[in-house]
Amino acid sequence: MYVATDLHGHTSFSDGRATPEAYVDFRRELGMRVVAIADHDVFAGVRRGAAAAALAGMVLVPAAEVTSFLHFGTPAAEQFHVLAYFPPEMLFGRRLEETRLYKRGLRVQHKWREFVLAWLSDLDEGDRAALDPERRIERLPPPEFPALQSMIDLVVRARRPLFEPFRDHHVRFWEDDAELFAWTPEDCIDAIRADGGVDIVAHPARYRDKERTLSVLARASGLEVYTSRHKPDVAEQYRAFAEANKKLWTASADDHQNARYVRPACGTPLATLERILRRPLPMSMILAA
Amino acid sequence: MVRITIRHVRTGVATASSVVLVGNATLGCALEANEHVDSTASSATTVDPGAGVFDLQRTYSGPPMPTFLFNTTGSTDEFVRVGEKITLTAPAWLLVQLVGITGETPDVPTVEGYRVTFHVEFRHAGAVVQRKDVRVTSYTGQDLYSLVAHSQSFVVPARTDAIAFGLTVVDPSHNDKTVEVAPAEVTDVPVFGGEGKRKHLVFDNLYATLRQRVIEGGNPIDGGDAVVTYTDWRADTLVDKGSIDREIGTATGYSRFGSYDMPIFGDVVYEVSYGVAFDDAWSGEQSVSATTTSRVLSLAGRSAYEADVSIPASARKMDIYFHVKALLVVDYSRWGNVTSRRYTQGDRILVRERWDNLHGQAGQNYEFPVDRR
Repeated sequence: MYVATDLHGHTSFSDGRATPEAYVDFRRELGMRVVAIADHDVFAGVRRGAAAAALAGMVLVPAAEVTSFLHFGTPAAEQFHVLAYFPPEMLFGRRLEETRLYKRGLRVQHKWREFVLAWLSDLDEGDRAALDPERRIERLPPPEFPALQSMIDLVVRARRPLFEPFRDHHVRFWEDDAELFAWTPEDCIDAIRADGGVDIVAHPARYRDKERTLSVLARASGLEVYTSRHKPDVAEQYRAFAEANKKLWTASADDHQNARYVRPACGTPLATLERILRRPLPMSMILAA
Repeated sequence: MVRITIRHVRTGVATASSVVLVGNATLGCALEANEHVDSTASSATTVDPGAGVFDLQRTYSGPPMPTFLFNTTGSTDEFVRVGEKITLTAPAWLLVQLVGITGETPDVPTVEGYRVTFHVEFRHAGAVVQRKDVRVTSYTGQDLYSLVAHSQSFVVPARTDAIAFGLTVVDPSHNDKTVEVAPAEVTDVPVFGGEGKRKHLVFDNLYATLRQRVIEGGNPIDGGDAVVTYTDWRADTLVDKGSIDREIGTATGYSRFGSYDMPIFGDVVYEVSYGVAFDDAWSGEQSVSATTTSRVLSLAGRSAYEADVSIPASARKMDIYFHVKALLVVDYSRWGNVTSRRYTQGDRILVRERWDNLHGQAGQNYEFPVDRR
């Protein structure tokens, strides 16, 4: 049995444009019952999304897309993303906030702020004044500081010629920070499990090093099968791989609100959801699926 | 004991396509053929108001919303009624946050030693009609994050139409440090059943199923009035909003991967009107405007279409239907670098139109018997 889901998408807390509430509401309109916000490395939108989902009778799975690297610091370096999913019970009290991954997310927000402020400080006075005439940005704390897409939108709106320099510069945020991002995918998997989460490899067809990807998949609990990053035939290959190797698998959109929404071609298996949720889904959701 | 009547539901599927016209008024129009929107009708049985638990939570909406709200769960449905027996709960971690201990996290016995009192105000038409202090008397749970405080229970008195809450927490382990939460910081809870002959008729949905309920139970009362609420999510479901093409053009988008052509979208808004008849005497279709302050909806940001309908003193039967138009609002001004436009700025394009009546059948509108005073 499959349940209509979207377990991987981004909000304005990373490189998406939607608020958490709008993100959830859009999926409610599509009839989805179980959704996740999976911003890059941060859980900043999760509680707002969970509140909106609860009032719509939906389940929001606390999640993040954790950045790791293959061959960090070498010319062959490439990002490798592992999705971390937690049961909604982690939102009781401050359990989620006590996880290592959540605290790492706070560090990411803090260092992103420093990174952007350093870039701003290197601009000439005219450019800087155009981007932030009242010096408001530098007074924003990390949780409210513009994340990547919001920062890009600000640059384009205020000083279009700075877009390419900023885009070229921003990749250094990941490539230069060994403390935060030199994790291997296996490090990610271990960290997710140590926090009590379920690890799912995001869009596995995207990575250049296929051999390493296979070795990570062998270790991971599961993989993303249906995603806008996979062509239909590729998705079917990964589904066959998952089923042959008894892996969990998911169906998501990887939506950034910058293209037409691609609804997953299939739902997520009930068994995967119940493993993530650590409990049976309510019967009403199963019947409606 | 106060007894009220709750409507139970049965389901049907819209299948027919037809329109009933009387004079110039469209009265009982039907859904288009082959649509599969479930609809529910009502039959009445009597139950007691039941019991409910109000669980204190933080809100995450930020100002101007209050800081706290109660998640309410009851033995009947999501609504709170006069005569309902209520217990208040609060997660222990929330009490710890309120007290604001900055040093070592307190252990369970320390938290169980807090003196917690809820100050409950029962209101009618904005005035406080009764006050009651309710103390926390027990805890459940093993550790700080599963520990829940439970209050004494109380019964919602007659005539109440809203409950407001304040809170006092005293921490004996820190020299009786006291924290007060004022009622303005906690979202009020609406109460139904305390307004005499006024009934609330709610037309909403449960996932894909359309349903209609009389919150107070029973039926509209002759000589009284009915607040008819049609919810935004029901309109979404009726018109299948998710399938509407909202694209209004394209614009140059910018992301970490560079610039690209991206679709841009307009908003879908609704125009809702209704027709009502008493004893088969129809009045003309009337439009209703959206409100964001409906007592029926607890979620900030949602809207409802509400009308206050007077029930004639001699009426024995009330029929009602709704007419929903979905309009795509075209606004390019919020997008920079628009590269193509499908429409003209400011257009409001009718993209879907549906009539909402029982089973979508001509002449089968939502029918309510009218009770005698």
